[in-house]
Amino acid sequence: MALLAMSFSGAVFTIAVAIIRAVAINRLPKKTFLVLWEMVLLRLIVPFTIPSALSIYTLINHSISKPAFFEAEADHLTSALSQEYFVIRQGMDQPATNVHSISVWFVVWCTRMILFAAFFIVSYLRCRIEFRTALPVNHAYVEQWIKEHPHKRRISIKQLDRISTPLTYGVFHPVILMPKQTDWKNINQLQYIFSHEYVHINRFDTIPKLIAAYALCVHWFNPFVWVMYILFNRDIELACDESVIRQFGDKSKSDYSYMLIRLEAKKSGLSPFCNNFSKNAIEERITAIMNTKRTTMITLLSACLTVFVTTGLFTTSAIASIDSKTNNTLPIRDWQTNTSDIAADKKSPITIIHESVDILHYEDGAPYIHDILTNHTDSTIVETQYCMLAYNKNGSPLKLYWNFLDSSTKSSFENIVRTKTNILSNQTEEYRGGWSLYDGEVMEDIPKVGNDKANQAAYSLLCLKQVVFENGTVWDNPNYENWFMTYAGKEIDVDELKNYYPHEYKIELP
Amino acid sequence: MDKKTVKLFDSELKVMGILWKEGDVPAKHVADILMKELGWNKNTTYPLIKRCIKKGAIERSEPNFICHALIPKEEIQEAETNELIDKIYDGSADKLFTALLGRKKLSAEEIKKLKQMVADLE
Repeated sequence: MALLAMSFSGAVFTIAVAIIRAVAINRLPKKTFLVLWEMVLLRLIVPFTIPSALSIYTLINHSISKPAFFEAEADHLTSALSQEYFVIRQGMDQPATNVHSISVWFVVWCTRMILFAAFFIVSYLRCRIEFRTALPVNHAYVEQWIKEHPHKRRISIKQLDRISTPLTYGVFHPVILMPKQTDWKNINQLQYIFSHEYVHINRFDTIPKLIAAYALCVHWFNPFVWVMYILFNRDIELACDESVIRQFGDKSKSDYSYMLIRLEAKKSGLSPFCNNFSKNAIEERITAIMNTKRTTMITLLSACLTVFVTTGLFTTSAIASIDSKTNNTLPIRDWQTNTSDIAADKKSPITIIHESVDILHYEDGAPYIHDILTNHTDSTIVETQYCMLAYNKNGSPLKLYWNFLDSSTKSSFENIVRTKTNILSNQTEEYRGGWSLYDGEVMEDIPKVGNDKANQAAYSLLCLKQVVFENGTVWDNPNYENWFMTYAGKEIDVDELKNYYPHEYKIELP
Repeated sequence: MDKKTVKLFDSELKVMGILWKEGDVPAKHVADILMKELGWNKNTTYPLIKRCIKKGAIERSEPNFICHALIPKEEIQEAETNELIDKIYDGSADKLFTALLGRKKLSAEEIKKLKQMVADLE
């Protein structure tokens, strides 16, 4: 799955989770949202989906009447992303050998990604270098707390005069870093702070944060990934608060909230990778703390249900048979890669291949389109219907007088032709000649057509529309409409025209 | 050098403390002591010494990178946290995220409002 497809479904998933979060933030255990965000991350990073009949994308495809809401959403997203989608997709799908065809957008995407990554890495390293100069803390309560909380990874508590709120860093040797001005005599406050950081350490919260930052760097162009990043970071804190409140009991809610406000008041900045003890965010946090409830069977069940349903809907993809329809909601150019993807998996290698389509010339210089088909099915082809398009050497589409001997016809981009031709199973078509094109300079004894100039056609694209087999079976190319919309009358990159053939049609017969 | 403006972090004061106690010593000696006392390695201590030199608190002389305290203990002003944080992160990293996450320093009014919230929810 290409980056933009992942980005798109990640965005849809993010919207869904954000809506659930807005509705149920104080009703479900906070862990629910962490799991959901982790699923979003997975969706954004891992190019793998399970095709499912229950996928939201299957549902969108199936019901034309139903999904006013989702459809509108999908359309909106598509229009927002499609422009970049086209270009980046194009750049990324090119084989590495076609270096010259990598688009400007691909370069922009890469550069911005590296810039974002560099920003994170540099600010992280700067913090870590500064944190090394932290000084030990010598207080009886701190030593006692460490003794009471033995851990496989040795935890240490240090102080630094350059931070304003407590934070934790280090995965293998976690360090709880306290501001120098900490009120070391306020044991009540200290135990809340330490417990909060201890929960972060136990849950390895740094790791999902790093992964989220990675996703943000890759999907920097997607505003929904930024939303995900911000909300995910908040929810890590909320889940941590919840766990501390559970540990200390309902009585601790107000105490804990007041402590947060005190810390927040001192705070002046934050650094992206540290588990900060941290105007909306703090209000949300305090409301969440004050509303913390004991987990009941019902909340637990609804949490599980939410996770399963949402994940089921949004991490899966549409089932394969309607794959081509899915792509209607995505930009059209996608179809080409899809067909070759399908052909590549070789499960049913029944194909017809367009080996080449060239513009050749007869001895007198008259041009014609010559195409070669190979029949890899196991029955004989008796008739084909196909559409031809022509382009000049710059890839601009040409309106041609395809039937130039018939003076009544008008010029058009496309020419749809039906030919009776026998191609045996596993045989490559051999014939001379092809579809003659008009050339005002060479063809002297033919009535003049149009502006009467020399032939401009340098490239031609052909696409099979229908194939009839000896036994009477008819195959209609399901991708034909997409192909036509993509190429007919459109400016096409010359490299694409040059590399278009051989082209494989996957044949699925009823 | 205007000595009154020299403000040092706790970590830099640790380095100065050694010079005040032991007199002029090579940088390596400072690093060894801090290694024993705090577990700092050379890569932590040397940049700190350099920072002190830059701030005009230490003078370096060769051979052996001898460190000499330019400022007596009494004249050192302890730096204030808020001012220093801005200096460490140089603004850039923090500013972006502060802007994005909408986290500013809370005003007295906002703090009052938050406390009221807690009281209401109790």
